[in-house]
Amino acid sequence: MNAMLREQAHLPLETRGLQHCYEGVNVLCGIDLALEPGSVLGLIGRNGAGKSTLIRAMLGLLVPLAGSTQVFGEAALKLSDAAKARIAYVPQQPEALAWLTAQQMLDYVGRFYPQWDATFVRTTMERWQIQPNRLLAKLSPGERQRVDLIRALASQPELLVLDEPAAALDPVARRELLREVALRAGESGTTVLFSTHIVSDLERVASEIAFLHQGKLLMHCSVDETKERYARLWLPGKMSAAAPTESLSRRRHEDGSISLVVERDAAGQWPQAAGLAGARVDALGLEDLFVEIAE
Amino acid sequence: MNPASILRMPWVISHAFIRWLALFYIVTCGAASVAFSHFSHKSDWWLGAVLLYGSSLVFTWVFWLSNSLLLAIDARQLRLPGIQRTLMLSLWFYGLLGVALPTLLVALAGGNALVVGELLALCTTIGLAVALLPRYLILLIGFLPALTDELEHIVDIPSLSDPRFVPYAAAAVGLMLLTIGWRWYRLLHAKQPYMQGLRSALVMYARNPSRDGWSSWSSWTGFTVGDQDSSTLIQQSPDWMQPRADLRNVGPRAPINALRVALGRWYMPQTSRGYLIQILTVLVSMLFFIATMATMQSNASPRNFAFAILHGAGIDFIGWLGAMGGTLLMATTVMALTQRWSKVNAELPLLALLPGLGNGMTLRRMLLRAGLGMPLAWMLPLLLLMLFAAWQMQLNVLGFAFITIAQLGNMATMVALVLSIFGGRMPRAWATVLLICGVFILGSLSTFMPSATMGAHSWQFGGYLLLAIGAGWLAIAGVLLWLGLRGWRGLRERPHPFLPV
Repeated sequence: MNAMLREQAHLPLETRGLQHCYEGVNVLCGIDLALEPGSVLGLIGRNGAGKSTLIRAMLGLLVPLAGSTQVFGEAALKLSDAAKARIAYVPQQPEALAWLTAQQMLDYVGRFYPQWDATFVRTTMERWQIQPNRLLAKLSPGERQRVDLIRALASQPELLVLDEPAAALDPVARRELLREVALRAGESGTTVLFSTHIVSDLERVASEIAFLHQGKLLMHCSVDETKERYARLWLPGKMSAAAPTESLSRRRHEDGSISLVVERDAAGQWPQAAGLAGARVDALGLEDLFVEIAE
Repeated sequence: MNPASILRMPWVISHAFIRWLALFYIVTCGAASVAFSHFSHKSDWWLGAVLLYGSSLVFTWVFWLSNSLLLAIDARQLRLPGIQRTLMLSLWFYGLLGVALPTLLVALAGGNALVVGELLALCTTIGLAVALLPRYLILLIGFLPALTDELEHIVDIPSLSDPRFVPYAAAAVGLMLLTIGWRWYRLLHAKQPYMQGLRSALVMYARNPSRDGWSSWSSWTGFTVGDQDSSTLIQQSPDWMQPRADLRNVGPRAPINALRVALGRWYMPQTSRGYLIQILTVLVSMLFFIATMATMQSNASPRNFAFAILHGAGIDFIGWLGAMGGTLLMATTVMALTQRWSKVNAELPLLALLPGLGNGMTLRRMLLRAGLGMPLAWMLPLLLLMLFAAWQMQLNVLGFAFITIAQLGNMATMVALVLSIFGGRMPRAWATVLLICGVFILGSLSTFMPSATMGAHSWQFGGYLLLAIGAGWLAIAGVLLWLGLRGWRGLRERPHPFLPV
């Protein structure tokens, strides 16, 4: 009973103060992030924002410069076999075991997972039209990604981490994947973390969104909340001095007017400047919000 | 297009590592040629100097300037205007410069300018032709010594002092230029110019992207089995050469075999058919060299051809196999594992998160057994073969000792570098290349020198040479010990061994 309670207390994934750099350039600047059980977190950011590095550091696939990550309460860099059996990860453009056929790879990996779903493998291989006896090296990038997704899903993980899972998939396969992810999260309570550029994917399945920009986590909230919580504040040039100092982005236009992405405060109010005559508050869709901040 | 862009072209066509290596080689050979000319008192002093410098010309054109073709292909594919013309002018400029300048210097010093010019033009065109010809033809270069010997019996090849040399050499240069033009055009207009394989040009192997030059150099040198991207390698191999995995005894209960599957290619447990095909492939390719050596032996004793094949060629082959094979095994293993430990989207994340492999020191020991077991299992029979050859050649104790040291040197280098990879403490690419080259040179000297420096026809300074080789091995042993210990410490300190280098 105590063990169960202890286990329930552990978050599937939790990271604190994660820092990393490549060749002197900061890629992660003190990231704090936690995933609640059963949540689907979409990690979004521009190319080179540090999404893959963050994911790899969170799973113990690289040693960060500073900070720590816990996966099911265990240090990510020293996971036990029991914890590993609960995790599945699909990297961006997977290239593992190119010398095996698709069937051999799934057979090989399946031997290590106690809850391996061979029936799911068989049916999904047929549904996704993967030739089981072709070497992985000879599959197209999209097919290879699909095989790796089957590998990840067949282990029936409690934590599913996907790095740009839809990058090489056609629209049909992408939609099937998203459906599968939503199903796993909804029915089995699988916690999902996935990175993407495709905002519509986020809107379709993610319950939470985390926006990574230049190594910093600019926002982390539920998808629905983004529309309520963030907006674009436009101030004419003569009022630019009244612009709030704290904003997620700030852009000055040629006519002197200024656009800012602002956030409601703890009391649910927009910054004071929003109430000035001539000021305008525009609701932002997820994609607009992303573009406004990232640009 | 301007003169500056023509002059600058060699600086943009290749990786810095190849460029600096070629420059170093050409400057060293040039300096050696000048020294040779200065100290030689023979009437044909210029010949040695020209051949020394010529070897650097061949190297430069094979490995460096031939890369112009890659840029030409890219420029054509991207429809970039003007580049082809600049490239052509640059090639002609540097080609003529490399020939004309030394020819002028030799002529001023009293050498035969015409012969020198033709020899250097031959070196230049042969170098570029070698880079552009299909790889299977390059393999036949191994036959050249035997072929030349044989041709001398059939065709009257004029010597350098023969007046007929000038027209013969001019014709050869013309033939080479035609070959270059034909191959350049074919490769430039090929539908899939970048495909690699035995039928592709040698220069295509310089396309491997690498930040440190390690891949590009290793590709050039032919050690591509481990270093080249696994998927690319498999895509380029015909179906009958594809690996055939045997997964019967693989899983959490046989973790070493499981790790061998993840290390891939020749580490992987294969079906009997898979092993048979691999062994046959190696044996057939070795037959080329056996035949070459047999032919050379048969020239020495034409009446005793069978004996020459069985004894002379066989023993020579074993010697060659031991000297080259050990280094090749070591280098291939190191490159294969370097590749595995540098890709973040391949086997490393899979292994790091695969349950059932265990943790801590047990996992590290199993990984070492998987990573070292197979190559060492191949190197040991090589050592025994070498000792057998030494016994057949009736070498003395010193000969046996040096041959053993050479093979142990290869093994120790492999162990030290594999520990460095697993421990995340891989030395810089240039240092690794330098170490492997050093071990290869010492290994070759240790294999062949004792028999040459001892006995009835012993060299005057043979003893000193052997002492120098011994000292070289001692120095290498120190480096390997340091590398190995550093790697082992790194492996123990890492949270887990499946972290990229």
